[in-house]
Amino acid sequence: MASRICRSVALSIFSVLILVLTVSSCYTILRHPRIAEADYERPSGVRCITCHTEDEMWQFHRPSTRYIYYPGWQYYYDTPWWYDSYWYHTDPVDPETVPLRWRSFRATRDKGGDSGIRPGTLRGQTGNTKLKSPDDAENKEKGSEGDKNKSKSDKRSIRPTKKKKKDG
Amino acid sequence: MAAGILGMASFAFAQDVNEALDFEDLGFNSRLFSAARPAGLAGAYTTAGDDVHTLVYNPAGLSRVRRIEASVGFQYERNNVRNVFYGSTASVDHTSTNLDYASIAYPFPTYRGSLVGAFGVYREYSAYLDLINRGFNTATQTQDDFVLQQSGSIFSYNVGFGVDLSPTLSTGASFFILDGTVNALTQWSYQVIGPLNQGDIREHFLLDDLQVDVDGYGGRLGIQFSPHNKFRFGAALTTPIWINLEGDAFTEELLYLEDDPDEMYTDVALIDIDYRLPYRIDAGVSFTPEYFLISVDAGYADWTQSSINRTRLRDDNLEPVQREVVDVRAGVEVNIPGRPFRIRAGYAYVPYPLHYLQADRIEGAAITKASIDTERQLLAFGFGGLVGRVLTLDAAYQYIMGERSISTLKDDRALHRFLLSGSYRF
Repeated sequence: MASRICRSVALSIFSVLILVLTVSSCYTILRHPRIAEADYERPSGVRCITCHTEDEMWQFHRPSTRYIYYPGWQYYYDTPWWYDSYWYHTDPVDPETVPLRWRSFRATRDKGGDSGIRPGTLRGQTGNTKLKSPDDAENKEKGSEGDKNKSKSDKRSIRPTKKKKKDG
Repeated sequence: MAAGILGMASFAFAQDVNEALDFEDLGFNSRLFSAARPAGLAGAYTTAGDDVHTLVYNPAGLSRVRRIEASVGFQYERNNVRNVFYGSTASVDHTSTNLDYASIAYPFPTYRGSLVGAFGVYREYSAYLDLINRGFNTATQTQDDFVLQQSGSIFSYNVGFGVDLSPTLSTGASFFILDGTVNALTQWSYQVIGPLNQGDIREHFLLDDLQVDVDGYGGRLGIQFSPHNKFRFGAALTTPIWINLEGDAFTEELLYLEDDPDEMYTDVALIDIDYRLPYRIDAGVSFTPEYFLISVDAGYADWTQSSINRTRLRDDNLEPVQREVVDVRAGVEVNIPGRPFRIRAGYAYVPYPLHYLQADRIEGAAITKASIDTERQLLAFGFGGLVGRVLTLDAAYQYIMGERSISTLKDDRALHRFLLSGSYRF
């Protein structure tokens, strides 16, 4: 009888504990918190990594390191579906998709000297570049010779907000 | 007069106690481990889960889902029941293919932490059972032939959520309603062997066709704690589950009398029975060294608290006919390095809550305490892979076996289950 009472008490405590923790939790935040000093609230269209580092972005969503030995698992399990827009504000990234570019009917040697994957050349649009990962985005920004020869608008297609901040 | 009242009281006890068999016949005390991946880990998924199936294992695990997930699974089972009834053996195989589950999880976009909602239909109980008890009953001096053909699945419709409370702590809750149908066709006959007087029953046939709707409800609460990215602890509490059976039964009886005209009776009866399943607590730990997932769970349920029509099930000595049960489940998953494949295996020790058997289902004899010759155990194997980064396919095989006996009956069961699951992440 005593053990049954103990079990009931334990169950009640367990239930109440979960309820209290749930109600009192403020860790999970759906929207960017308002920063009182600067009276700042993230406007729509501004990407999070404008202000936050990538490490911060991942830490906010508690990624595991279990699946790093095969990148596909990491994408499947650890990459939030809304993350793509944090970085690019475009359609979700498919890392396996090779970006398309316009070319002539006859194949010719690529005079640009790079791999032929050129940010901003996807069907002639800018700002819709498909990248392998945020790290790749950094590499692309540093740029090859071919990238350096690109116009300003091409460069802005990778990090357009940096430019916007300077302008602002 | 007093003896008559005592006799009636004893009869009333026996009636309730015998209905404890319903828990087992309807599958209420056999937990189905849904979905191929959890099934391949022998159900050790209280902390190992990081997909939509945590909805039914530990809702706290939902908080680890990062992409919108839609998942569906099917399962095939072959159930073998081998009964040795007064020395005569009858073995029956029954197969069925069913939807195992269909579910979806939606992670809300968050700035920090995780909030995931999920909905899923899961096959909660399997009521498929074919059974034959056939032989010469020395107690009643009759040649008995009892045949039960029963089919039906009870599905749970779950809705739940998981939320991060801190970088290392998450919780979740789910609520479910049960719905299903069970059909049972019982046919039995007995033939009296020996000298008869005029008017005595020589042979008696019965056919009983029963159909019931099953409804019920319950809930789950869960918590997970990850102090290190290679260790995770968790616990899940399942509330008592209330189940109602409502339906009707048509019975036809035919009696051949010695030196008298045969008699035939028909009857239609209504069925309305309430069952209560007890609390259940699961706790587990998982460890994820490189390439591996090792998960161990333990579950506790006090089946002495189960009841039918609010009456607890005890024998004439007030001893509970169902018992407290602690089950242990363990699973290992190996990721193939550099490949999108993984293989897994598991073992579970899941003792029978009901440790009584009924010697004579025709006579309706009071159930008697059984000896557990082989406690119920489960072996599981499985494998799975990732297709194109967004689709996982998993398969699992489970073998569940156990053996109990009383002096006049030996009950030996083996269940083979094959499960196939596919999950797509958007």
